[in-house]
Amino acid sequence: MLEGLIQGFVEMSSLSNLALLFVGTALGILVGALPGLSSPMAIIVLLPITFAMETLPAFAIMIGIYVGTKLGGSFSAILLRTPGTPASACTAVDGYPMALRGEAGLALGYATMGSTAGGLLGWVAAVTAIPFIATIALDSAPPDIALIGIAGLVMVSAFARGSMVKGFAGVLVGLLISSVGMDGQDAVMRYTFSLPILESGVPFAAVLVGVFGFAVVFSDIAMTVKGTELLTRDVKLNLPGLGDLLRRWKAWVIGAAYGIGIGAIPGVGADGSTWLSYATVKNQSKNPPPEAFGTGVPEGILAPESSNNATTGGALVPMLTLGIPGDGSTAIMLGAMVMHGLTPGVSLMRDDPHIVYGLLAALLIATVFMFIIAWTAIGSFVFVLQRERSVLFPFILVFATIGAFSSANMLFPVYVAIIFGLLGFWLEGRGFPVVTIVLGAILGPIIEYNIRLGLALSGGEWTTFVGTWPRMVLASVIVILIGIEIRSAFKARSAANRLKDQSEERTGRLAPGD
Amino acid sequence: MEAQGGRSGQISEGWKDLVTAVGLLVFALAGFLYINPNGSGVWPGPGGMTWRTMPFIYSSLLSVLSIIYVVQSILKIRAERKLTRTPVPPEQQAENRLILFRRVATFAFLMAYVSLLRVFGFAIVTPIFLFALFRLYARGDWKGDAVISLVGAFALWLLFVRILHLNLKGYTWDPVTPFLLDALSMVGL
Repeated sequence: MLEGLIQGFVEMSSLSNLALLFVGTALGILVGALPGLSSPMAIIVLLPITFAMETLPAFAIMIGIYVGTKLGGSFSAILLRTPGTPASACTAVDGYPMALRGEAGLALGYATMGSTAGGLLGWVAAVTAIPFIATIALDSAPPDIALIGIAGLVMVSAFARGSMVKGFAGVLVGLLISSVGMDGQDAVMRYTFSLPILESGVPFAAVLVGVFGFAVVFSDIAMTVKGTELLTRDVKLNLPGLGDLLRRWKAWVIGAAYGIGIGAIPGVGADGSTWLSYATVKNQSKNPPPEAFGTGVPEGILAPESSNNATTGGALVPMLTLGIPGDGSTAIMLGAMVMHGLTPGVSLMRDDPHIVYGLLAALLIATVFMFIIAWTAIGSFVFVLQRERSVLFPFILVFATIGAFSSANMLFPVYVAIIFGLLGFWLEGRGFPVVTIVLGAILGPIIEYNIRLGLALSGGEWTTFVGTWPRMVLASVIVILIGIEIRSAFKARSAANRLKDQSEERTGRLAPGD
Repeated sequence: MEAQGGRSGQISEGWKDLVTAVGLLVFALAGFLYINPNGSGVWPGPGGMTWRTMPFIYSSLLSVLSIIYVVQSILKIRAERKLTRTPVPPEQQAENRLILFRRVATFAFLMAYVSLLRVFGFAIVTPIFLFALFRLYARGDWKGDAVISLVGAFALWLLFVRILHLNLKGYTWDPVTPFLLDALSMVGL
C-alpha cells in the first residue's frame, strides 16, 4: 500500500499535474464562493477540457475543484450570509455574526483552518480504509455487487432530502434511463424507438451536463434579478494560532469524524454532516456554553468547516472501492472514469491501482494547495464575490453546450442535455433530489448485469442473494432502510394530520368570539 | 394558516405536484409499453432473467410511487383550498414575471444557439449568443457587453478549436473560422 501511495505522489508531483491541481483548487474556491455555482457544475463545465487529457491529469483538476469548493462556500456564508454551497449554510450561523462584529478576517481564518484540518483527517481516513475495503470487495461475487448497488441506491433515496416517494422515484427514473440501448447480455434493443442513435444508450455525459449544468443555470437565473451586497469589501485573512486551534480540538475533530462517516454514505454528503457536527459540538460544549452558539463563536465555524472538507475523504471510499458515489461530484467523477475507459467498482483497485493512489495523492496535495491559496489570495476571491451572475451564466451555458457536444462530436447529446436540464430544473423545484437520477443511471447497468449473472450462475435460484452472511446483512440493511422510510413517512403524515386537526379545532373555538 | 397566491395567476404548489406526478406516471407507463414489442417473457425462467425483466420491475415500482404521488398532490390541492390566500405584493409579482421572462428567453436563445452552431460555426454564433444573454440579464452598457462578448468568445474559440482541436466550424456559411485560423498561422501560432 505504502509503495502504491508513494508512486501516486510521484505521478502527481509532475509539474503539469501540480499546476492542474493548483488551478483546479483555485477554481474550486472561486466556484464555491459564488452562490449558485457548485462543484458538480464546475466539473461538468470542464468536461470538454478533461476529455482531451490523460486520465490522471483530468482527475487532478477534478479533485482540485472538489476540494476547493468546500472552503469557497464559507466565504460567501461569512460575508454575505448566503452560503456558496448548501454545505456551507451552517457556517453562516456563527461566521456572519463574527463578521458583523468586524472580525470577518478571523472568521475566514477559522474557516480555512477548520477546512484544512478536516481535509487532512479525511485523507488519513480514506488512505487507511480504501486498501482494506478494496481487498474485501475484490472477493465479491455478482450477487454481492448487485446487493451493494441496491443498498447504495436505497441509501441515496432514504438519506437524500425530500420525501421517500420522490427519492425512490428519482432513482427509478435513473434506472429506466440506464435501460435505454442495446442490452449487453442478449443484444436486444430496449427503448430505442428504432433510432440507431439510441442504440448505445442515452449519452451519459449529456445527462450530467443537463442535470448539473443547464438545470442549475435555469434555476439560478433569479440571481441575475436579485443583487447581493457584501458585508465588507476590505478583508484580510487572520489565521488563528496553532495553540488556539489545539485548544478547540474537540470542534474540528468531531466535525471531521462526522464528515468522514457521513461522507461515505451515498447521497447524504456534506449538507447533513455539517449540521449534525454543529449540533453535537454545541450540545457538548461547556466553554463556550451552548447558548453562545449562533452569536459568533469560533467552534461554530470550525466544526462545520472541518466536517465539510472531511467528507471529501469519506466520499472517495465507496467511490473507489465499490463504485458507489457519495455525492454529485463523485458521481460525475465515476462517469468520467467510464469515459476514460476505466471500470469503476470492486475491480478498480486490482486493475488500475495507480489511479486509486494517484487520486489519494491528489486529495492531499489539493488540501495543502487550498490552504496556501486561501492564505495568500483571499482578496481576489472576495473581489469576484462582488461580480454579477449575469457575466458568468452565459459563459457556463457555452461551456456546458460544448461539453455535451464534445462527448460525441455531434449535436444530439446537446439536445439530450437540454431536455435533462429542463427535467432536472423542474424536478429539483418539486423537491426531487436530482442526484438520485444520476446515481440510478450510473448504478443501473452494474446492478442489472450482476443480478442476471448471479441468477444465471445459481441456476435461477433467488436464494443466492441471501446465500452468505454478508449478503444476508446487505439484504437486511436494504429491508430495514425501506421499512424505516415507510414508517417515518406514515409518522410524518399522522403528525401533520394531528397539527391540522389542532389548528382546525383552535380556529373553530376562536371563530364565534371573533 | 396563509398561502401566497391570490389573484396573481400563479399555479399552486399542489397543482405543480399533480402535473409532475401525472408526468411520472405517463413515463412509468411508457416504460411498460415501449421496452420492445418483439420480445421474450418478463419473469425469470430457468437460469436467470430476460432482458425485459428489470425495466418491467422499474416501471412497476415507478407506477406505484407515481400513483401515491398523485394521491398526495390531490390531498395537497384540497388542503390549499382551505388556506387563506394573501395576495402577492406587486413588486414581487413584477420580479417573478421578470425571472420567468429571462428563463424562457434563455431557453429560446440556447435552442437557437445550438441549432445554428453547425450552420454558421462557433466563431460567429457564440459572440452573438453571449451578447444577447448579457443584454437579457441587463449586465451593463451595450458597448461593454459587446467587448466582453467578442473577447470572451475569441478566448473560448482559442481554447476549444486551437488547443483542444474540436471541430466547431460552420457547414453552411462560416468565413470567420478559416480567417481566424489563417490569422493565427500568419503570426506563427
